[in-house]
Amino acid sequence: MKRFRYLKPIKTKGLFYNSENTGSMRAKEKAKRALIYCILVVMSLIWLMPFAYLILQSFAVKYESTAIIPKAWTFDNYRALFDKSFEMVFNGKTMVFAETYPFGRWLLNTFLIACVVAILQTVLTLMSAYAFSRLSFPSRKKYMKLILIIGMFPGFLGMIINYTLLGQLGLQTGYAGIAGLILIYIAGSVMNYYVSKGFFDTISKSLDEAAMIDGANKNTIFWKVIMPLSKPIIVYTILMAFTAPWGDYMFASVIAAGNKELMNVAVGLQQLLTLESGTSGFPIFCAAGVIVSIPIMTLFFFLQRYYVEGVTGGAVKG
Amino acid sequence: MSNLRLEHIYKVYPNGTKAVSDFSMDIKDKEFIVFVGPSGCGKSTTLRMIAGLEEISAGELYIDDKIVNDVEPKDRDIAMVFQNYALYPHMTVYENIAFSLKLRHVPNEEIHNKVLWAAQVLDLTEYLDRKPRAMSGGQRQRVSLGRAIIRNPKVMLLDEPLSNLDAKLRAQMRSEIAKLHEDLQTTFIYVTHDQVEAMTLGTRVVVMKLGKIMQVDTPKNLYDYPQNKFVAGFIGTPQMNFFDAYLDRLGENDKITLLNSSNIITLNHKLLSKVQARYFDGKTKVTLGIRSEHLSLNPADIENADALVAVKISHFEELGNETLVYAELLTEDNSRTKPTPVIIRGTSQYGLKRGDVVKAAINVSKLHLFDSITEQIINPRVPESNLLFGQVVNNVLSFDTFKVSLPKAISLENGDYSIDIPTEAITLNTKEGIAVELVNVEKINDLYVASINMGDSLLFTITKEEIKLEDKHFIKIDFSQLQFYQNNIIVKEAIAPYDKINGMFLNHVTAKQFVGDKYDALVESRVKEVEDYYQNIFAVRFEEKEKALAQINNVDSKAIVAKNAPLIKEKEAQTKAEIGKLKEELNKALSELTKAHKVKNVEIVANVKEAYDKVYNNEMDSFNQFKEINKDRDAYRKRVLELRQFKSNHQLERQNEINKALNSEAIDFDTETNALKGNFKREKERLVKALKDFKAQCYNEAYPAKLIEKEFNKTYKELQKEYSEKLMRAKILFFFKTGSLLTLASDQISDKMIKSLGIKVFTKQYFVEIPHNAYHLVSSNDAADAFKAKVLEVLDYGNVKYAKCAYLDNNVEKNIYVEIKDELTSEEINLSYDVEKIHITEKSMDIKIY
Repeated sequence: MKRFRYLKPIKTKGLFYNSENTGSMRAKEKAKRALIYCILVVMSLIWLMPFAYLILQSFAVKYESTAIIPKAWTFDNYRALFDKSFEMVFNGKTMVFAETYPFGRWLLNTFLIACVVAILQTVLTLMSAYAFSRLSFPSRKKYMKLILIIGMFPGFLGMIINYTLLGQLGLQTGYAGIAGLILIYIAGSVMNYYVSKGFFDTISKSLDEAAMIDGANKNTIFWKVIMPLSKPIIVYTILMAFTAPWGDYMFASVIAAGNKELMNVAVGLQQLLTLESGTSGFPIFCAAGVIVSIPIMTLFFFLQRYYVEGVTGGAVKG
Repeated sequence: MSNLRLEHIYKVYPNGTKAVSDFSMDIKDKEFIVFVGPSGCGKSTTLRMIAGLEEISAGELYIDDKIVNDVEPKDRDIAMVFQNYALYPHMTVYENIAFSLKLRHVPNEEIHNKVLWAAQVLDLTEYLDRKPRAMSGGQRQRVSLGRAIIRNPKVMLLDEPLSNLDAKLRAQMRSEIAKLHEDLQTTFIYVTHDQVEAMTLGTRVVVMKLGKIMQVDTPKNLYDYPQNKFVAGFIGTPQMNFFDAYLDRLGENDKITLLNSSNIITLNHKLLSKVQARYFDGKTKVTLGIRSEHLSLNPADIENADALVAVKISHFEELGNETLVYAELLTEDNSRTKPTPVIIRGTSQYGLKRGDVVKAAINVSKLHLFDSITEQIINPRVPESNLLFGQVVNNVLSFDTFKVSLPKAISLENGDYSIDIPTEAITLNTKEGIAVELVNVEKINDLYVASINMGDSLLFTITKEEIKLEDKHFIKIDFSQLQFYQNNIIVKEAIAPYDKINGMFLNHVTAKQFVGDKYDALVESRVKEVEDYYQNIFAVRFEEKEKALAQINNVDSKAIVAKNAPLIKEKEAQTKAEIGKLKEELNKALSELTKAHKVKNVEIVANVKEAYDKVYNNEMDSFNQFKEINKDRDAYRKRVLELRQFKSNHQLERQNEINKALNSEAIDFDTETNALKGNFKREKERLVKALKDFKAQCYNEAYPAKLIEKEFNKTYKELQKEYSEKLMRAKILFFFKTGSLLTLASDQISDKMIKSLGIKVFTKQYFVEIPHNAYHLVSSNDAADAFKAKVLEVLDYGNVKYAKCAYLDNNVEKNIYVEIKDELTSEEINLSYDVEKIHITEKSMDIKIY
């Protein structure tokens, strides 16, 4: 009978399948997911904390180092930033805050600089990136490497020489200094070619060739064929070009040289914190911080849908 | 609608690889040329060079007899269809097709009509307002074709247009392209790697390999008469069968011994009469090629066959209408080498099975023989030379029955020789020379190949004039082209048609150190000629302008302006109002459309949801029923799991269904919006244009003089440009330096050299190939304008005399042959040559220039 032992019925829990096993797999999957969400929630809380703190403090009457949520609430911090008829006690003195610290002026300065830079820099960056992507000219690759290497040095290494150069151009002081600042920002546009070149490289070259045969010159190809396909990268470039001068401190402070009329927000707000005021200006500083972040956010939300939308579908077989 | 000529085109990449070498071809008007070859053979590169997308390294490209090497792609009047369609994704089909005309500022109405025409030809009318991404591959390629045909280009270039399509669409598009060619009657050049496309579409097919042309011929001729083993193997499915073999001559018959096999084929020598005699030695390896349909296993064929080969069957491929039998050549019993595979085409399996050893009938008139080393055909339709065995006795050459006395220049010892006689060396006529008997005359394309009876062998000659077999014929032999061998050693060399000597290309400044100021006068006269010519033209134009101005000098501009001002104002207002109205209409239509779209979207979602809810409810009901009556725990668990599965799938399926429906609605919506916007844009442009035209017309009416002035300035500018170019060219002279001789190069040659090599022209070294009759003897007084050569001997070939000379070429002594009329008096002669007759080759890259 020994040889028939394999014919004994095999014990199974279910009739068709092992139900318990499947159940545990589902449970495992659920647990895994829960864990991931937990980590994400914690991370985003950490991420959002400073910003929430900034907003909360901007409504505080007085800075208290121990209270995250202010004990007394007020809207005066915002009013103080803009209202020139609003007198308040600041740092122990009664004064018109908006006259001592012309925040509106700073905001306007920064906004103008950032807008001009964003437009010019976007055009220059995209054009140079397109040239690097499509045209073949002598030592193209060497030039590209050179730019990458130069880009690795911190920008303020060249600050002194740039400052002297601006002096020779007569763009060092006063309102001309702001033009000089814009010039400095856009002069390095080509440095940012890399991402956009990568994008242009993905657009099939046969599109250029087809346009060439159709009778377009390089200029027409760039504006009429390539640009309409490059909305995501245009948006990216505009955002980058806008945010860089928006938050710049180093060069702006050199150009402003203590003149409150010429400061941008970063330089101005820094003044507010470090000078005689100590910590008493902190709530106003927070209010200014909230206002400064609004344009960037608006810009991002406005441009976001282009950012995501890919329009290359149907160009070539894919 | 034009012809195209490629002359010695090369593409050399900076790293030195030659992608295309020495591509020469004449493409006639309305031809459909197909470039075919394996990948990397340079076919696409050649096409891109024609399009102007790739620079031509050397050589010239002519479109309509105009050199276009340096012409921009857009000015070449060509159109191209790309493998990946290359449609502009942000434009609608209409805009894609119209783009090239828009860039050329063609009037809108004309564009509209042409786009409609192209759409009709290509069956795209209903897709005009779609964007490419909403179209299938075949439709996209049709749009791409539409974009090409709209300009009515001189040449249509198609770069593997069908390789991204699936098999069924490909066959359909293939016939559409063929039809398009019929309809448009323009020149097509088509690149493909698919031989079916090549064979079905081309009027002529260019087979390429590694950048070189292998053969250019009609598809039928490529299949029937391949020039080399590559073409034979590349064209035709299944591939041609190749066997290594030796040839032997056995009296009237020839014997073909197949290597690696016990098979021997015997056939009449007449079938292989074009094969040169040296192959019939039983030692020279040749490759025998035969197509699968010229072998047969059909019993009826085997019974009547001229020759048979024994094969062992390995397997069958049933294709429905025909059967391919895969077999192996029967080897000798103890052979260890791999047997040669054979493919035989038949209509059925004839009751055979795997492993059977059978005899297959072979159609001996369809054999192709190739040299196993050069892979060139050795039984060509048009033979280039004859290799015959003959004897020389007392300076009389005899081939079996045919005898001819040799000229003085050829003095050979008595004995047996093999003689290479190029077909060009024999000229056939009906009047004078040596009487011969013709055996056969074949007409091949536009040539006549005559075979002359030489006893046991045939001598072939080629003429362009028609030959009638029954006439009495004579031949003349150019003995200078004959080459005599004894035991495979050349005993008497043929004289090459050219002498190849080193040369340099110099400009006038450099040449001055050798020729002095001798050519200054020529430059001056050339300049004067150009100046005179253009002064004359300028004077005439000026006079015409003055005359025209004189006729209109009494126009009162101010009055006309005043008269027209209200008209213009009225027209402006009218245009503005019309555009405003159109815009209003557009916005209204668009908002309606959007509203309808939104409603439809909601409807779609609701419909899908309803349908899916029904399914869901059914499932739930059935589950509840099951729950009520079921008592088995395991079955219940299984059912619960199924339900769970259903629920998660159901959600996804529903979402998919909704997305699909929404997408298709979005495409429809997009199409309709595009149509509205496109119409509005066209109407607006038309109105604006009309207004602009009207304004221009009013302006011209008021100031007619300005119009004349403007037109004159335009032509004057063009003329001035032309003039300065011509003047510059007149000032430049170029020279060839060969030895001590400087020859003035004609403008035609210099232009060609500069066009094909550009600025590198002066740094390169050249070979100058001089035909023997291009030499001039120069008297010793003018020895400065000549190079010296030492006469070695005078060769008298009867009708022509050559002086064999030694010439020191870059310190290497070379033999050159100079055709002479009279006896020579001195041992040393001074030579110059006729520059129009020479050929020029670039030395380092071996590029033929002229």
